[in-house]
Amino acid sequence: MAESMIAWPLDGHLPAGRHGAGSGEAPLSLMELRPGSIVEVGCWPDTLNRMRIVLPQLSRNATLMDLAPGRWWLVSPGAGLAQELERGIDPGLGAVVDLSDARAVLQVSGPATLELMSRLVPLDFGADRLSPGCTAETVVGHMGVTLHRTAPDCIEMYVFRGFARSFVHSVRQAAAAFGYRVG
Amino acid sequence: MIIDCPVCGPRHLAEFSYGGEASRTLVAMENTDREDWSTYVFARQNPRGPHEEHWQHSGGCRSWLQVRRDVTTHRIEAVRLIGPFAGETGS
Repeated sequence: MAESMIAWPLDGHLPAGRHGAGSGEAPLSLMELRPGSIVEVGCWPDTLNRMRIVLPQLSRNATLMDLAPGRWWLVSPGAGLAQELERGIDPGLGAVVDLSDARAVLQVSGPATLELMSRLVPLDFGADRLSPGCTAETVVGHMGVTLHRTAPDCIEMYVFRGFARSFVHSVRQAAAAFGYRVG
Repeated sequence: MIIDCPVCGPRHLAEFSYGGEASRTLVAMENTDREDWSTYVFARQNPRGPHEEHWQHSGGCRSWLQVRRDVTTHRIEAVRLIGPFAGETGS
Protein backbone atom coordinates (compact mmCIF):
# COMPACT_ATOMS: atom_id res chain seq x y z
CA MET A 1 0.00 0.00 0.00
CA ALA A 2 1.27 3.45 -0.88
CA GLU A 3 2.39 5.61 2.04
CA SER A 4 -0.25 8.24 1.17
CA MET A 5 -3.08 5.69 1.72
CA ILE A 6 -2.18 4.98 5.36
CA ALA A 7 -4.05 6.84 8.12
CA TRP A 8 -1.66 6.89 11.08
CA PRO A 9 -3.42 6.66 14.44
CA LEU A 10 -2.00 9.89 15.90
CA ASP A 11 -2.53 11.96 12.75
CA GLY A 12 -3.99 15.31 13.80
CA HIS A 13 -3.62 14.63 17.54
CA LEU A 14 -0.07 15.94 17.92
CA PRO A 15 -0.05 19.48 16.51
CA ALA A 16 3.46 20.73 15.77
CA GLY A 17 4.98 23.42 17.96
CA ARG A 18 5.81 24.15 21.58
CA HIS A 19 3.07 23.46 24.11
CA GLY A 20 2.50 23.62 27.86
CA ALA A 21 4.40 25.29 30.68
CA GLY A 22 7.52 27.42 30.46
CA SER A 23 9.23 29.03 27.52
CA GLY A 24 12.43 28.43 25.60
CA GLU A 25 13.65 24.92 24.93
CA ALA A 26 11.08 22.34 26.07
CA PRO A 27 12.30 19.53 28.37
CA LEU A 28 10.15 17.00 26.49
CA SER A 29 9.68 16.04 22.89
CA LEU A 30 6.73 13.96 21.61
CA MET A 31 6.69 12.21 18.27
CA GLU A 32 4.55 9.56 16.62
CA LEU A 33 6.66 6.65 15.39
CA ARG A 34 5.51 4.82 12.30
CA PRO A 35 7.22 1.44 12.16
CA GLY A 36 6.44 -0.59 9.05
CA SER A 37 6.18 -3.84 11.03
CA ILE A 38 5.14 -4.80 14.54
CA VAL A 39 4.93 -8.57 14.94
CA GLU A 40 4.15 -10.77 17.94
CA VAL A 41 5.76 -14.20 18.09
CA GLY A 42 4.70 -16.87 20.54
CA CYS A 43 5.94 -20.40 21.15
CA TRP A 44 4.95 -23.56 23.01
CA PRO A 45 6.49 -24.54 26.36
CA ASP A 46 8.44 -27.38 24.73
CA THR A 47 9.81 -25.15 21.96
CA LEU A 48 10.89 -22.28 24.24
CA ASN A 49 14.60 -23.13 24.19
CA ARG A 50 14.63 -23.62 20.42
CA MET A 51 12.78 -20.36 19.81
CA ARG A 52 15.27 -18.48 22.01
CA ILE A 53 17.97 -19.55 19.55
CA VAL A 54 16.00 -19.23 16.31
CA LEU A 55 14.28 -15.88 16.89
CA PRO A 56 17.41 -13.67 17.24
CA GLN A 57 18.69 -15.22 14.00
CA LEU A 58 15.43 -14.48 12.17
CA SER A 59 15.03 -10.97 13.59
CA ARG A 60 18.16 -9.53 11.92
CA ASN A 61 17.49 -5.74 11.67
CA ALA A 62 14.34 -5.79 13.78
CA THR A 63 14.22 -4.73 17.43
CA LEU A 64 13.50 -7.80 19.54
CA MET A 65 11.48 -7.15 22.70
CA ASP A 66 10.97 -9.77 25.45
CA LEU A 67 7.43 -9.53 26.86
CA ALA A 68 6.93 -12.75 28.83
CA PRO A 69 8.09 -16.38 28.67
CA GLY A 70 7.18 -17.53 25.16
CA ARG A 71 6.07 -14.06 23.96
CA TRP A 72 8.12 -11.58 21.95
CA TRP A 73 7.60 -8.52 19.81
CA LEU A 74 9.68 -7.62 16.80
CA VAL A 75 9.58 -4.11 15.42
CA SER A 76 11.22 -2.95 12.20
CA PRO A 77 11.05 0.20 10.06
CA GLY A 78 10.23 -1.76 6.89
CA ALA A 79 6.99 -3.57 6.03
CA GLY A 80 6.69 -7.31 5.46
CA LEU A 81 8.45 -8.63 8.58
CA ALA A 82 5.48 -10.87 9.55
CA GLN A 83 5.56 -12.68 6.22
CA GLU A 84 9.32 -13.10 6.54
CA LEU A 85 8.97 -14.60 10.03
CA GLU A 86 6.14 -16.90 8.96
CA ARG A 87 8.53 -18.47 6.46
CA GLY A 88 11.06 -19.19 9.23
CA ILE A 89 8.65 -20.27 12.00
CA ASP A 90 6.52 -23.33 11.33
CA PRO A 91 3.43 -24.02 13.48
CA GLY A 92 5.31 -26.73 15.37
CA LEU A 93 7.78 -24.11 16.61
CA GLY A 94 5.45 -21.19 17.29
CA ALA A 95 2.97 -18.64 15.98
CA VAL A 96 3.35 -15.27 14.25
CA VAL A 97 0.77 -12.47 14.47
CA ASP A 98 1.08 -9.25 12.47
CA LEU A 99 0.23 -6.28 14.74
CA SER A 100 1.55 -3.59 12.37
CA ASP A 101 -1.83 -1.82 12.04
CA ALA A 102 -2.97 -2.61 15.58
CA ARG A 103 -0.87 -0.19 17.62
CA ALA A 104 -0.19 3.52 17.93
CA VAL A 105 3.40 4.34 18.85
CA LEU A 106 4.43 7.48 20.71
CA GLN A 107 8.02 8.38 21.48
CA VAL A 108 8.80 10.60 24.46
CA SER A 109 12.30 12.01 24.84
CA GLY A 110 14.14 14.76 26.66
CA PRO A 111 15.48 15.40 30.18
CA ALA A 112 12.00 15.32 31.81
CA THR A 113 11.08 11.90 30.34
CA LEU A 114 11.31 9.95 33.59
CA GLU A 115 9.50 12.67 35.54
CA LEU A 116 6.70 12.49 32.97
CA MET A 117 6.64 8.69 33.29
CA SER A 118 6.25 8.97 37.06
CA ARG A 119 2.93 10.75 36.37
CA LEU A 120 1.74 8.12 33.91
CA VAL A 121 2.86 4.64 34.92
CA PRO A 122 3.42 2.79 38.23
CA LEU A 123 6.97 1.71 37.38
CA ASP A 124 10.35 2.16 39.02
CA PHE A 125 12.73 3.20 36.25
CA GLY A 126 15.69 2.75 38.57
CA ALA A 127 15.04 -1.01 38.57
CA ASP A 128 17.28 -3.37 36.59
CA ARG A 129 14.42 -4.61 34.43
CA LEU A 130 13.67 -1.09 33.21
CA SER A 131 17.16 0.10 32.32
CA PRO A 132 17.81 1.36 28.76
CA GLY A 133 17.12 -1.39 26.22
CA CYS A 134 14.46 -3.04 28.40
CA THR A 135 10.78 -3.57 27.68
CA ALA A 136 7.85 -3.43 30.12
CA GLU A 137 4.12 -3.89 29.88
CA THR A 138 2.03 -1.73 32.19
CA VAL A 139 -1.04 0.53 32.29
CA VAL A 140 -1.64 4.24 31.63
CA GLY A 141 -5.09 5.27 32.85
CA HIS A 142 -6.37 1.67 32.55
CA MET A 143 -5.00 1.38 29.00
CA GLY A 144 -2.52 -1.42 28.50
CA VAL A 145 0.77 -0.07 27.16
CA THR A 146 4.03 -1.66 26.12
CA LEU A 147 7.09 0.48 26.90
CA HIS A 148 10.48 0.21 25.30
CA ARG A 149 13.20 2.32 26.89
CA THR A 150 15.61 2.91 24.04
CA ALA A 151 17.93 5.33 25.89
CA PRO A 152 18.10 6.81 29.43
CA ASP A 153 15.86 9.72 28.35
CA CYS A 154 13.87 8.12 25.54
CA ILE A 155 10.84 5.84 25.82
CA GLU A 156 8.63 4.42 23.09
CA MET A 157 5.06 3.61 24.09
CA TYR A 158 2.89 1.14 22.14
CA VAL A 159 -0.85 1.29 22.78
CA PHE A 160 -3.90 -0.30 21.14
CA ARG A 161 -4.74 1.77 18.07
CA GLY A 162 -8.32 2.30 19.26
CA PHE A 163 -7.02 3.99 22.43
CA ALA A 164 -4.76 6.37 20.50
CA ARG A 165 -6.75 9.55 21.14
CA SER A 166 -7.39 8.92 24.85
CA PHE A 167 -3.80 7.85 25.31
CA VAL A 168 -2.22 10.84 23.63
CA HIS A 169 -4.60 13.10 25.56
CA SER A 170 -3.34 11.61 28.87
CA VAL A 171 0.27 12.00 27.81
CA ARG A 172 -0.16 15.57 26.56
CA GLN A 173 -1.97 16.58 29.74
CA ALA A 174 0.82 15.20 31.91
CA ALA A 175 3.50 16.64 29.62
CA ALA A 176 1.94 20.13 29.68
CA ALA A 177 3.17 20.57 33.27
CA PHE A 178 6.75 20.44 31.98
CA GLY A 179 6.34 21.92 28.49
CA TYR A 180 6.82 19.85 25.35
CA ARG A 181 7.65 20.16 21.71
CA VAL A 182 6.13 18.31 18.77
CA GLY A 183 8.09 18.23 15.50
CA MET B 1 0.49 -3.62 47.89
CA ILE B 2 3.30 -4.74 45.62
CA ILE B 3 3.48 -8.18 43.98
CA ASP B 4 6.88 -9.35 42.78
CA CYS B 5 5.94 -10.82 39.38
CA PRO B 6 8.46 -13.54 38.42
CA VAL B 7 8.39 -12.20 34.85
CA CYS B 8 8.26 -8.40 35.29
CA GLY B 9 9.63 -7.75 38.76
CA PRO B 10 7.89 -5.83 41.58
CA ARG B 11 4.70 -4.15 40.35
CA HIS B 12 1.86 -2.21 41.94
CA LEU B 13 -1.49 -3.81 42.78
CA ALA B 14 -3.16 -1.63 40.08
CA GLU B 15 -1.66 -3.92 37.42
CA PHE B 16 -3.11 -7.16 38.85
CA SER B 17 -6.53 -8.86 38.88
CA TYR B 18 -7.58 -11.18 41.68
CA GLY B 19 -8.31 -14.71 40.52
CA GLY B 20 -9.71 -16.33 43.64
CA GLU B 21 -8.61 -18.93 46.14
CA ALA B 22 -5.95 -21.26 44.73
CA SER B 23 -6.61 -24.29 46.90
CA ARG B 24 -9.87 -25.34 45.22
CA THR B 25 -9.93 -28.13 42.66
CA LEU B 26 -12.48 -28.22 39.87
CA VAL B 27 -15.15 -30.91 40.28
CA ALA B 28 -15.06 -33.57 37.55
CA MET B 29 -17.43 -32.61 34.73
CA GLU B 30 -19.28 -35.94 34.89
CA ASN B 31 -19.93 -35.46 38.62
CA THR B 32 -23.51 -34.18 39.08
CA ASP B 33 -23.55 -34.16 42.88
CA ARG B 34 -25.10 -30.87 44.00
CA GLU B 35 -23.20 -30.82 47.29
CA ASP B 36 -19.82 -31.18 45.54
CA TRP B 37 -20.60 -28.37 43.09
CA SER B 38 -22.03 -26.15 45.81
CA THR B 39 -18.82 -26.57 47.80
CA TYR B 40 -16.69 -25.81 44.75
CA VAL B 41 -18.63 -22.71 43.78
CA PHE B 42 -19.41 -21.18 47.17
CA ALA B 43 -17.25 -22.60 49.97
CA ARG B 44 -14.06 -20.71 50.78
CA GLN B 45 -11.49 -21.25 53.52
CA ASN B 46 -11.50 -17.55 54.38
CA PRO B 47 -8.53 -17.89 56.74
CA ARG B 48 -7.18 -15.22 59.03
CA GLY B 49 -3.53 -15.31 58.02
CA PRO B 50 -1.67 -16.76 55.04
CA HIS B 51 -3.84 -17.51 52.00
CA GLU B 52 -2.97 -19.21 48.69
CA GLU B 53 -4.58 -17.30 45.85
CA HIS B 54 -4.46 -16.72 42.11
CA TRP B 55 -3.62 -13.35 40.60
CA GLN B 56 -3.28 -12.40 36.96
CA HIS B 57 -0.79 -9.75 35.90
CA SER B 58 -3.50 -8.40 33.61
CA GLY B 59 -1.95 -4.95 33.27
CA GLY B 60 1.48 -6.42 32.57
CA CYS B 61 2.71 -9.70 31.13
CA ARG B 62 -0.76 -11.35 31.40
CA SER B 63 0.75 -14.29 33.32
CA TRP B 64 -1.20 -16.15 35.99
CA LEU B 65 0.50 -16.30 39.36
CA GLN B 66 -0.02 -18.23 42.57
CA VAL B 67 0.52 -15.89 45.49
CA ARG B 68 0.74 -16.67 49.20
CA ARG B 69 -0.57 -13.53 50.92
CA ASP B 70 -1.26 -12.90 54.58
CA VAL B 71 -4.76 -11.44 54.48
CA THR B 72 -4.35 -9.66 57.83
CA THR B 73 -1.16 -7.80 56.87
CA HIS B 74 -1.11 -8.02 53.03
CA ARG B 75 2.42 -9.35 53.32
CA ILE B 76 3.27 -11.38 50.21
CA GLU B 77 5.16 -14.49 51.29
CA ALA B 78 5.64 -16.27 47.96
CA VAL B 79 4.88 -15.76 44.28
CA ARG B 80 5.25 -18.31 41.52
CA LEU B 81 4.36 -18.43 37.84
CA ILE B 82 1.73 -21.05 36.98
CA GLY B 83 0.45 -22.33 33.63
CA PRO B 84 2.38 -23.68 30.65
CA PHE B 85 5.51 -21.64 31.36
CA ALA B 86 5.62 -22.35 35.13
CA GLY B 87 9.11 -22.10 36.53
CA GLU B 88 10.33 -19.57 33.94
CA THR B 89 11.48 -16.15 35.13
CA GLY B 90 11.28 -13.63 32.32
CA SER B 91 11.58 -14.35 28.62
